[in-house]
Amino acid sequence: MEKQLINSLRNIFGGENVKTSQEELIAYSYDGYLKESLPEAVVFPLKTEEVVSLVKLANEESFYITSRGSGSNLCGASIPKKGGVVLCFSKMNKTIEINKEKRYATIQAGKILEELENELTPMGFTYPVDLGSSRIATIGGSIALNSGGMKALKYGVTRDYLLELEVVLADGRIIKLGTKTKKNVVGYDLMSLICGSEGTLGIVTQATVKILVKPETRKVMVAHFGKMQDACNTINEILAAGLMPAAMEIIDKLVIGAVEDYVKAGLDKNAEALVLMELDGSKRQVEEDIVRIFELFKKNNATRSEVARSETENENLWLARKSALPSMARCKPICIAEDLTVPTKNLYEVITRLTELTKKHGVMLGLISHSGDGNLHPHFLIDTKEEEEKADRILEEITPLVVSLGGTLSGEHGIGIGKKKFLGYQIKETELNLMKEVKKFFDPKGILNPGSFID
Amino acid sequence: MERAKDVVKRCLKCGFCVNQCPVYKEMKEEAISPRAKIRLIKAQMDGTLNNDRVLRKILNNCLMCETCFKNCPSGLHAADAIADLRVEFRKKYGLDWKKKLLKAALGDKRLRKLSAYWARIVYNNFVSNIPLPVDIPAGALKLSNIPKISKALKNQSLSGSNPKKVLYFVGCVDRFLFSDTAKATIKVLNKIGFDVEVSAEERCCGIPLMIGGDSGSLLKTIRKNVDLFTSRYYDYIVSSCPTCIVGIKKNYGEILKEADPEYYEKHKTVAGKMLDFTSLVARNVEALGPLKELCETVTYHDPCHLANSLGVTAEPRKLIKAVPGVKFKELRNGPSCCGSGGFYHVYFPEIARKIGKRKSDAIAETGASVTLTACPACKLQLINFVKNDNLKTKVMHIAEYLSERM
Repeated sequence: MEKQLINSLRNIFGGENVKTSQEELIAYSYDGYLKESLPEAVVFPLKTEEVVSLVKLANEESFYITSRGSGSNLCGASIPKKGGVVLCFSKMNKTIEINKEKRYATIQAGKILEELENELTPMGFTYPVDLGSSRIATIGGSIALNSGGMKALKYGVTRDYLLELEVVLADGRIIKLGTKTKKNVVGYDLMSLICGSEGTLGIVTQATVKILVKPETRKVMVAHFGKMQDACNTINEILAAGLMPAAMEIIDKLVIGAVEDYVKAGLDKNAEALVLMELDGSKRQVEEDIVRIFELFKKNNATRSEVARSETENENLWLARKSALPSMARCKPICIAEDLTVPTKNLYEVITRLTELTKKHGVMLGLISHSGDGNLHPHFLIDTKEEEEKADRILEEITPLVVSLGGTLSGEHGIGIGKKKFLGYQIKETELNLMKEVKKFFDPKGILNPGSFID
Repeated sequence: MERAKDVVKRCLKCGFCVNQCPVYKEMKEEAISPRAKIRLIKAQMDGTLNNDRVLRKILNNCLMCETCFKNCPSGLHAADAIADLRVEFRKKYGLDWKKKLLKAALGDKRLRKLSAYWARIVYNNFVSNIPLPVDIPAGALKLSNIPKISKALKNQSLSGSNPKKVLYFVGCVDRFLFSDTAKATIKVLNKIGFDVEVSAEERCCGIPLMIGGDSGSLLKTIRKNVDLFTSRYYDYIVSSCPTCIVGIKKNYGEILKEADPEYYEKHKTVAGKMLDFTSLVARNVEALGPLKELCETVTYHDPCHLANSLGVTAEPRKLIKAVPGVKFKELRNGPSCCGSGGFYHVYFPEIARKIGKRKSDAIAETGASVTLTACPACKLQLINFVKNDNLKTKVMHIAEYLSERM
């Protein structure tokens, strides 16, 4: 990047908040995905006006802008795929307001979800979008990817909690979308369009989200199964029985082994599948539901099942679940996390097919599933380029089945560059063209996050 | 470099370590996060970096607190990878004057004693007695906040009073600067039924040399200490300094495995006996007998090497709660580094001060009249920061707290 341009950036952000050394550029060339690409500069905004100035400069000088929170996404959405400037929100992370009466929180884009939750908990509130990566993910990043996480079954996903967004458009105008009221039907729902657009339509600088009163109690249950099919059946029977857990997760044998080595929660490494469940609500309701769920565990041949006895045990079991993905480096050095989602009743069918395919291609498979909402994360554990291609082939072969079942190839991780080539399987030409028109309308010069899922 | 190679190969870049890192929390820049340090070490190994000037600075900006290890589901030790690189850099560039001084003082048994003696004379008689027009900073510490240096602990041999024998590995700080902690440690160990030896043959544990990347003096020191540990039979080898325990238990094994197979085998025979003070006492808590009742609010700061590297968090709490009448309050947001990081605060005083301020704010919230910890370096750092903030809380090592209540 030319010296003059760097100086212009320094004028906007101050010298401290513009980085150009080779080492700092490398640090912003990656996120949680495999691929890497170097930016030409990294800037840290502290206020929205600085973002506006940057976008105006990008229009004048023709450079790309890729927004980034903490860089924990799994599809390469925050990698600067065509170079340019990385706009990193990590320092723009203030809580503007938490309003207990009106039940909302207004935070800047760089706020980390875990830190928001730490502020809400003592007040008796919660922001229930609970990601595997909550300890690092920012609100801005989770809006860009419409993150779902552990409790989507009962509480929905990021989009369901947005009240207001402040967005900087590709020409530098600031727009405020939504209202603080729980109901609002005036105009097109642009907020929902921005949410999940992976930073390709505008730059979210601030958000107001709904917060909920923390439930009176929560209980975490675990059950081990000798067969994956029994675990899947249990999930379906719990749903059919009209029970409403906050979360229902399945992990397979390989993953049980990896997380148990880290967390030492006393999980049975010999089990083929483990179901982890959280129930929340009134004490009485939760106690009643536990009895019914134990019966269903028993009916489906659970080899061992129990309820955590303390909040520490609850936390520890969740730590095991949330560590599932990263703990897999214990098995192989590279892990490709997939994100297929199907109707819950078809979960076992897809798992069976995946197991066949990974066997056929000789790729190691670790399975995690937010099974309550049909979201399946097959992890392909590999250590060579050749195996990476095999993983791609498995995905090519499984995708038609997923689509034919009425499923989706990404439930929550996003498309980014990771799944771009598979987009055509699910989205028809008419819709894809419409999306391209939308992109062109919002960002005619194509400066925002170029190369992410849509061109 | 074997450890660094392995860490670099296996990091998935999930980022779980990033916002747990105390330095990242203050700076909010990826480049100093453990994830980036690992990625940059890879770049250095691949030969993609134009030079290593910035990398050296980045790798020095690490507290070695192992919070990243504790938060790594794959169990990677970024600190080990960083230490490996520091050794390489020391070979290439030598030591700066601060580390040269440290090496001279800690690398030799007699010089260590002599340096401590003069530090005490000069500090107690001149620095702490004369009101200074300006406060002289010593890294993140203010000189006027440092307590007077106590007389060095005397060596003591086993008395034969009890068949259970402990070698007390005192460590530099508790031996030469805070011998009150050391005396209290001995008193508590005696009380729970151990005959305690403090040996003249004890050397610096070597961790400051290792963290600074000084592998030459390190090996000499390690061998001398291993000789001491194996010189006779001990039931336990105990320290009131968790960093010393991590060093002699974990790091010695790793270093000797590569550098000296004979001493590696020798070390292996005694590694299982090495324990931190709180773990040994917690196992024998009944033997403490009835403790004096105390109606006070007490909080506890987890030393990083104790909590993160050794996983010891329940034992100190068990000991604190053994005192009747105590109201124990946890610090907000759980264990987090105090910002001392050995000599980190000398090199990065600004960040260390911010981290320390966060800690003293958390202490203030508890309203505790006693703040306990189990590490001499944390103790010094905490004394400094609670003094800065005028908190009415007494900072003590758990050993002192127990011995006062016996």
